Amino acid sequence: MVEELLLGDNSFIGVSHLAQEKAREETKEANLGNKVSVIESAIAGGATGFTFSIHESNLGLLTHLKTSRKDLFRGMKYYILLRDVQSYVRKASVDGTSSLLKHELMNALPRASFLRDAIIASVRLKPEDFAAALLEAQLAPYLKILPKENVIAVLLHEVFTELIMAFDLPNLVRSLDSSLQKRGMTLGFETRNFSYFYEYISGRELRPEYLMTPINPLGYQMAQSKDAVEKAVDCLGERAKIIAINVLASGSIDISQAVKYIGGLRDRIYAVTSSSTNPSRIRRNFQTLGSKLLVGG
Amino acid sequence: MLMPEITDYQVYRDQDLKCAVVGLGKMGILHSGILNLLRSNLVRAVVDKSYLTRIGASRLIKSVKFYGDLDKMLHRESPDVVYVATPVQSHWDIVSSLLKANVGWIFVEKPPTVNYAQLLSLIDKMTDQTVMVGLQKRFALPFRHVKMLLSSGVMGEIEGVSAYIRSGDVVAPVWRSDTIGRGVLLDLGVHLIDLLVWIFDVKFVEGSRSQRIYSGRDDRFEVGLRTTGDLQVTAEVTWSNSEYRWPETYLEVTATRGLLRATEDYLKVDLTEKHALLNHRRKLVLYKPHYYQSVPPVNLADPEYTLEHLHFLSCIYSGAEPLTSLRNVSRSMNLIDELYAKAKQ
Repeated sequence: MVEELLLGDNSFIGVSHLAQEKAREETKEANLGNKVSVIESAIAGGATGFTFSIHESNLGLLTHLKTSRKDLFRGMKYYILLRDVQSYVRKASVDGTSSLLKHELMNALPRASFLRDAIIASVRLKPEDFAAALLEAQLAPYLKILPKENVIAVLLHEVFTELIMAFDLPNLVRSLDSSLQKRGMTLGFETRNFSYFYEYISGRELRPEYLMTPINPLGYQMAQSKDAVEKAVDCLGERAKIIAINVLASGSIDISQAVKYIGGLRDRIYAVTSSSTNPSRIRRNFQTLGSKLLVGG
Repeated sequence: MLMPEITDYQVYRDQDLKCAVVGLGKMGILHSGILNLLRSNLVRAVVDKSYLTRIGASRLIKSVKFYGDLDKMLHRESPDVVYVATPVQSHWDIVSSLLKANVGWIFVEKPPTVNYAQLLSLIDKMTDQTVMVGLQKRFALPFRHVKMLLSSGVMGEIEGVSAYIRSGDVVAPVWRSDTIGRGVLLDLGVHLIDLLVWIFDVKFVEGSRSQRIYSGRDDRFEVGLRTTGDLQVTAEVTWSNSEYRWPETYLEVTATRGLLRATEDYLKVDLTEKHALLNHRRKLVLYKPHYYQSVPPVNLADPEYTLEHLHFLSCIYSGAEPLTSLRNVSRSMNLIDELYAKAKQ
C-alpha cells in the first residue's frame, strides 16, 4: 500500500525528462525562496518526505531550512540519491574520466576517515571498498546537517545501478551496503531498467529494501518494457519498498491518469514522488495523490 | 516506422558475437553498459592504456578481460566487433590497426577522425569491413520524424533553416593536453553538421566565423551553409552557453505551409492547414514521453544510444551498411574541414 508521498528535486536542480527547454525555465524559477515555498506547499498537501540528489544547491537549501525553517526541516523524511550525475558527465567530457576521478579524490581527501579507508582499500586492492569510502565522503556534508533519524535510505543513482547490473558487481553492492549499515543507514537503488534489476537481484541473493523506478501509464523510462516492469513490480512489491517516480511521465499526462494507473498497482507501491516549481500545483498534486492512493486516503 | 531497429531485435541481439571495447572512459563505459544490458557478457574484453584503470576495473569486473595492448587483445580474443571510445586523436591509429587485423565490424565514437583526410585514408584501408560512427542524433526519434515529415512534403517548400547545438560544458578557462587544435566544431558541431547533411542535404559552405572564449580553441562557431537544392542554412555551435545543462540540438524550418521546430526532446509543427499526417490537425506537439513508450528495451543515458546499438547489431546480422558508416558521414567531415578553413580566411 502507498504509505508515503515524496517531494522530488528534479525541478530544483534543472532536470526535466520532458525537455531541456522546460528544465531551463524551471531553473530560472527555482530560487531559494521558491524552493522553500514548494516544500511548504508539498507538506501542506500531504508530502511526508523529500528525495534529493547530492548536489550543491540541495546542500544550500537544506542548510537554509535547518537554520531558518526548522518546522519544515524536522518534519520530513529524507531519501538521498547518490548523486547528481550531470556534473560527473560534464567533468568527464571536458577534462577526461581520469581527471574526474582525481577531482573527486581531491574533494574527499580532507576527510580523515576517507584517507584512512582509501589507503586500506588500495593496499588490499579492493576497489569496491574504495568506492564505499568515496560514497561516505560525498554523503558526509549532508549527514552532518540532517537529523539522523529522518534519513531513511541512500539510493544509488540509476547510472550506477545500471552499471552494477551490466558488469555484474554484487561485491560492490555488498561493500556499499555494509558501509552504510555501519552508520545505521539503508542502501537502495534507482533504476530505469526495473525488470532487468528484478532478474539481477533474484539470482544473487541481494535483497534491497528500497527501490526507486519510473512508473507511468505511458511506459516512459520503463525498460525492458511497461509489461515487464509491471510484472517485476508485482513480484518485488511484497518484499521491497518500491518508490514510484516520474508518475506523470515527465508532465506529459495529467494527475488523474497517473492516479488511475498507480491505483492499479497500489498494493505493490510504497511511495510516490512528485516535483514542481509551482507551489499551488505541488500542493494539488499531493492532495490528489494522498486522497486516492494513501493508506486510509 | 520510426524505429525499424526495434522489430525483432532479439534476433540480432542474440547473435553469437564477441565484443571488445577500446577505452574505458565515459563513452566506453556507456557503450559496454548498454551492450551488456542488452545481453549479458556481450563485452568480453577491454583495452585501456591506463594501468590504474586496468588494475582497478579488473579487480571489480570479473566477466571481462583487460588489456593494455590492443594487438595482444586482438591476438588472444579475436573479437567480432570492436568499439573504439578513446580521444579523437587516437582514432585513426586504432581503427587502422583494427582494419589491418581484419576485424569485421568496428564502431568508432564521434568524431571519427581529426579531419577529412584521415577519414578518407581509413575508407581506403577498408576491404569488406564496416566502420560505424557514433553519431547518435540520427537515432533520436524527433529528428527521424522531422526527416520523415519533410520528405513527405507536409511542410511544402522549405524557405529557410536555422539550427544550433549548444552546451554549457566549457564555461571557464580549461587546459587540454591534446594537440589537435580543434574545439567545439569538431567535438560537438559534428552532430549538428551531420544532421544538416542527413536531413537537408547540405553540401556547400557559405560563411564561417569562430570565437575563442575559454579553451584556447574554437568555443563557438557561426556557420552559413547551402544545400544541393540551393537552400540557405544558418547554424550556431557552442559549448560555452551556461544556460544549457546538457547539450541541446535545435532545428527550425520555415516553409510555405508552416513552421517546424525540433530538438532531441520534442517536435513542434504549426501548419497553415490541417494535414492527414498530423491526424488531420494543424498542430502537432510531441515530447520524448510520446516517442519512447516501452522502448527502447534498455534505458541507459539517452534512448538514442540504445537505438544506435540495436542498429549496429541489426547491420551485423543482415550485412547492411550502417546509417552512420564512415562513407555516410564523410561529407559531414569534409564540411567540418571546410568550415575551419573558411574561418581562418
